[in-house]
Amino acid sequence: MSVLRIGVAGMMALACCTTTLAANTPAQTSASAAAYALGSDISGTWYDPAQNGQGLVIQHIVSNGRPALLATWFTYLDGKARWLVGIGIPDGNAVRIPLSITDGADFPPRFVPGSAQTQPWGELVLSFSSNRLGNATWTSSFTGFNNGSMPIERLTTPSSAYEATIGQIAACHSGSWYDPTQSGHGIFTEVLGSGSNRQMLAIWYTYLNGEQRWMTALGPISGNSATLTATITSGADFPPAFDPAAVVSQPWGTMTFTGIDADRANWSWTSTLAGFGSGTLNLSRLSALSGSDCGPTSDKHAARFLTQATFGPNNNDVASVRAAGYNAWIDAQMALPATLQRPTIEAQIAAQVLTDPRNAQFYRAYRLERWFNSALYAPDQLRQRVAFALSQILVLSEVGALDNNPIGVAEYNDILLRGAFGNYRDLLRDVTLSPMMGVFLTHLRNQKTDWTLDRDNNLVAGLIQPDENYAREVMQLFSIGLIERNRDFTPILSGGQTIPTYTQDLVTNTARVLTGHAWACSGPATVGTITLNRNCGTPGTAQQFSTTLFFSTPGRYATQVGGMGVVTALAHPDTYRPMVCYPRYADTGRSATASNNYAVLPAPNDRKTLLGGLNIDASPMACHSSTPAIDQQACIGYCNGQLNTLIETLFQHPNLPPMIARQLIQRLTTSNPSAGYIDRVAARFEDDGVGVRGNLGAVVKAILLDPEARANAPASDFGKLREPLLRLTALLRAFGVVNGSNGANGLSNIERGFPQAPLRAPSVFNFYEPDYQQPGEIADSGLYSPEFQILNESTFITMSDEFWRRIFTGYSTTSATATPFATPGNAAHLPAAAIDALPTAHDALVETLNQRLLYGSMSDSMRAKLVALLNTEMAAADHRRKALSLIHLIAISSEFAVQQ
Amino acid sequence: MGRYANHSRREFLKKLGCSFAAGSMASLMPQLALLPRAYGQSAGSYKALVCIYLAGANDSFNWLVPRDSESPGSRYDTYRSTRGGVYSGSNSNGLALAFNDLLPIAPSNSPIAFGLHPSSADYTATNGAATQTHSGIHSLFNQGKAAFVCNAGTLVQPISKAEYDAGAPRPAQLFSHNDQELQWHIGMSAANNPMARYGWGGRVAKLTAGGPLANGLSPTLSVAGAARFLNGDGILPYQLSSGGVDLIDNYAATGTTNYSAARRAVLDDLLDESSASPFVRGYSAIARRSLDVGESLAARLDAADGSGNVSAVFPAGNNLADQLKMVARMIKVSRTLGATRQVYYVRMGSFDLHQGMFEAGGAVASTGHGALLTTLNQAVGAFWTALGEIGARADVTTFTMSDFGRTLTGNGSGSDHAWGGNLMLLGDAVRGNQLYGEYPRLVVNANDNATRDYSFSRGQYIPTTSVDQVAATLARWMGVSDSAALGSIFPLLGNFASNDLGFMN
Repeated sequence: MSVLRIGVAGMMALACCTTTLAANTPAQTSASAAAYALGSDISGTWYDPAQNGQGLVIQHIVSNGRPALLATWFTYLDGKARWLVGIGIPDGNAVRIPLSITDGADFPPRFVPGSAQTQPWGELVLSFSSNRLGNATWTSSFTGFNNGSMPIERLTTPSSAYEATIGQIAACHSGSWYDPTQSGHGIFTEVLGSGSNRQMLAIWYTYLNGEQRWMTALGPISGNSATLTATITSGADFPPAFDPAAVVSQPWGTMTFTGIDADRANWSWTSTLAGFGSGTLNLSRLSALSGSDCGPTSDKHAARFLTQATFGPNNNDVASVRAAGYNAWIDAQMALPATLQRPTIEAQIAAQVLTDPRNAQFYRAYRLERWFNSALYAPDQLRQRVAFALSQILVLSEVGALDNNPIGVAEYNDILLRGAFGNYRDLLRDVTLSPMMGVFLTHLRNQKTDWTLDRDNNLVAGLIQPDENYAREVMQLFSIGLIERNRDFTPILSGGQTIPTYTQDLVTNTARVLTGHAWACSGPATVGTITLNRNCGTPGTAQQFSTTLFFSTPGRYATQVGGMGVVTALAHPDTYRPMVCYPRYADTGRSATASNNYAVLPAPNDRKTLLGGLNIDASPMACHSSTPAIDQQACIGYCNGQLNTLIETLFQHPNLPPMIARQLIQRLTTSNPSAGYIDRVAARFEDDGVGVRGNLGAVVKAILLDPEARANAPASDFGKLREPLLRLTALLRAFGVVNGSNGANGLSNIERGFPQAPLRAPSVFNFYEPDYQQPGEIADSGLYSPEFQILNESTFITMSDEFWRRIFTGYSTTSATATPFATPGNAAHLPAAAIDALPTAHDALVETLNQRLLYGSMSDSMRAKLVALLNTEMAAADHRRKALSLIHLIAISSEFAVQQ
Repeated sequence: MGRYANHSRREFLKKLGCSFAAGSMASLMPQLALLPRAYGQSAGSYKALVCIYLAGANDSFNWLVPRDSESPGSRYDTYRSTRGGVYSGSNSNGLALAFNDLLPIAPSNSPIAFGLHPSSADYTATNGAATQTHSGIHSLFNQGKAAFVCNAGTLVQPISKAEYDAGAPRPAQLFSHNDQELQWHIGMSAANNPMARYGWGGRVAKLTAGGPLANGLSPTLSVAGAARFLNGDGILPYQLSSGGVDLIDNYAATGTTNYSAARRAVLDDLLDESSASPFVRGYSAIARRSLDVGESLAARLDAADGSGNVSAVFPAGNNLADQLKMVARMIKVSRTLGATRQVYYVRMGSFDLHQGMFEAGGAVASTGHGALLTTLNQAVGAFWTALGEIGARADVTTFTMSDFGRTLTGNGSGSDHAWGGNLMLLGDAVRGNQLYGEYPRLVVNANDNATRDYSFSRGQYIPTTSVDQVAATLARWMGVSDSAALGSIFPLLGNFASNDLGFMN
């Protein structure tokens, strides 16, 4: 099945590998053509089997931070080889590529840059029904060419394995290469296969005596070099005059590709044909295949990735990302067990209350200590970071009604930790049934309207109406948002106006579904050595028909200290376990009075109408305090069922993927993702690749591996102002922070200087809103900048002061020339050994700080100013003072404040 | 009720007398403007708006309540009945206040008497060892210093119940906290454009103050974080904390302790560097302003002679009071800096009382909603005293805004989102002891075209006065009197009968 007439041996080799690979290329699972969207899985060589001997090299790459398709057509005109090249922007399953044709140059060493004349040739439109089948249609009015079309199918699939680039050719060496001193000709490469079977396919587009030429080469990879057997073809014509039998294939010689690193290689050739001779080129990478994981090709790129995926890079993490590559690092992180919060602090508090009981608010410090320990030290960094991001979308705040419930708030955090890579449907349900959320957004003990009969036997609604708070916020903030959106987050317009996703009616109906939930009752519980009483009466389904239990709040450990009553934070575990339904108080579409036999209410109160007009009909049986045991389970089932239905309608709404995608992207990588970035991530939410909707693990991976996030030179408006907490943890982790000698980190009072503390947002609208635009240049440019909402003249100062306190914890600055250190008992600090280990030479010190904090991107002028400071005014200071002072200057600098 | 007072000659002279006492005679006697500042009077050359934002939606039909009589069918009785009866231990679903708990007021333009929430009483502030008695909103209203605008809210045009049901234009995203709050901040733009960048406070500041002061201080200032209300064209609100203007620790520009001057010089240089990233530039701008403007302000606020302080005793443990005290000090300092027009923003939260409007066994004025209104009342009372101390009562007009009102009927322990509500105005320049707009009847499913009384099934009232009308009246007082200028800030103002509600002198 040779396509490019590589020679018999080559054909066999190619047939071997491509046959194997063709079977392994994941086919699109969806049947409809419209569902295929061009992505990185399109790269490869393509041909029309009926026109064997000409074909296309298609490479999905990133150009200027955006995905693009580079296509080169290797074909013929009047017996001579021709190559046409162009680049286009994919749109759905198609791409329009303006192609150019060249001539005029010669083969190296006679190649003169600028001697090639480029002319527009016409346009090629490629459309694909899958990543294996497509169609090419072209229009050209260039002399000798014409319009036409041909079906195309995949011939080769470049390997997508992760392989380190050090000392060997790796899969990510696929792409396009050129010698920068000879711009105008170059080589496309594809690494095929895996293990000892690996081959490199190369196609060299070049010239001879003013005319275009192209050669195809294939050969085995061994270590860091591949020796390729090359073939050159001629003789055929441009379709439809192309005749496979007319192709003349000649052996050309050998070419050798020797990898130096991910972006450089040596190229040498020896040809047996006249005019080509032997020679070498120094190749630089021109483009890489998107989706191919070259891994971080430098510590800087690894550190940038870790800034997005953890609470801040340190040397160990950088090394492990470089060794494993991004994809494998993410997989390993997702496989780690979750470092939870509630079990630990519950045990700590249970011990504390026996020796030194305090009022509940005192124990908030335990939760914050645990949170900071996890952020600074937990190995499951990605999960911790994603849970933190989720805590700013599915917002629960300790501030207000929950300020005496740190164990409950910690358990809510654990819901987010456990659910970080799970399914969003489950997460939404768990959040809805969390009694902490029930307190925060007031749907705990939400009651239906009691419809009873008045004196004239008319049905009248009672005074109680279902609280609408959670009903509104679960739609506006936790799922679908306020206006209809496309998958790329752009608003859907009707007559130029946005379209609301729901009306007040829907809020009211949703509130009716969110009725009847209250704390579960599981009987007495022992935490540590303390038994907390809880009387649940008759066990079984009858519990959920008990009025007493519906209104019963789980108790706490309380005692007397010096004659004063103390109510501690040690609460019965029912405080944080999922709420259960008490059908007597849930809206079942029926009246609340025996006088009319709890009859089904007249429309529309018999039903609840949700999104899409879906109706939840009245319960088949009446659910009230005297409901017989035989019907109790069905009532509970009805109540659970309507909640599940509500969750499902939100989950299936087309707004959900772009809403979650955009917000998670904003938390992790950039405040202003392109529509394409959002669309790709939202598509992953819709379908994780094996047909599952709502797979957060797949979504997180898509966010971190997207070409826009991994671009080594991101656009200047890519990125975000770092959140205050993330600036702090990044700084501490960069220098090996450790806790005080008593084991505490002492960061629970961080609000002293920071406008942000975990799960302590001022309201359900988080610390900042996704659409906040800093007035001035940022707003004028149409950019969003959520984190700027809490950066102002006041917080700049308080944060700077707080950074100083934390950086200098343990260090004394009383003397001008010595900085003695004493290990603090209860505070996280930068260990003296770590500071002392920094280089003492000023240039080297600044460069090390540049690598640790700015990932190597410190501007030259900043570097010069810092070095000058050390050389002149601070020359008399000791090493520690110099290092710590510079760390603080960088910490509050604009370059560190922004993550790109 | 609810009409502007007639401009009788006697009224005019009475107000002239009040104006003279408050020192705002410049409009009548221009030469007063030339009096030197040492007299401590701005002589009419300084005006400021102070916006108190009540976040979460204040249940304001329990703030200002009809108090005609308890007889069946009275306005009070209707209120009580609609709200499910007076709250008590045996009627925990009720949301109404008891007749005798309401503090009586007799607005001069109302045929019936009203009452204010009991939290509105005079009180004595304590702060450490210091104490001071302040007038509450109740007294201030009776003194003619405070007024209410009734049933005000977001509107793009007047709308009746029938028109609403038929789909007539109404504000976008009714009942959504952050969307409604945004509309209060920016006014009702024709496109209901959430991307509209400027608030009406910032726009008024732009037209009347022009721009920052010589030392860089913006004419719009917030003690409560970012607020769209304050953004204007070239107007970036200055944010300070209720603790004042902190100076950065460890970076003093003078002195040699710990190399601070040298490090400060490097910091200043670094913040002046250019960058390709708009976020980096944005951060640098805030940092520079923080250091530069902050230092000049701190020097004045913390001046050893106390010229940046006020001696009025603000209640301890009251965050809104802390914010308003800073506002008073800033007003005092700003006038010495040559400020002519300023707009301030402070904020108080927790009003979203889906639950906890009342607390079992708790006193009405100190628990639940009452606790919040007491905090507000005490902060405002102390602020009024401070304004008197600095001679600014005629120059400063304070007003409240809130997301929306709340449902008259409850959900068992609280109220839910509604629409129209009542807001308060305070200042010597306010024509107080009056109610503006139309106070509704307070029934559910109201639909009376004659009295423009429209409400939905839970007593959510359609506002009869628009945000724009209130804001335009305040803008006029600040000096935006040109109708084209008013129209540029409030493009929908022409949809309403009046762009001057008449509550300012």
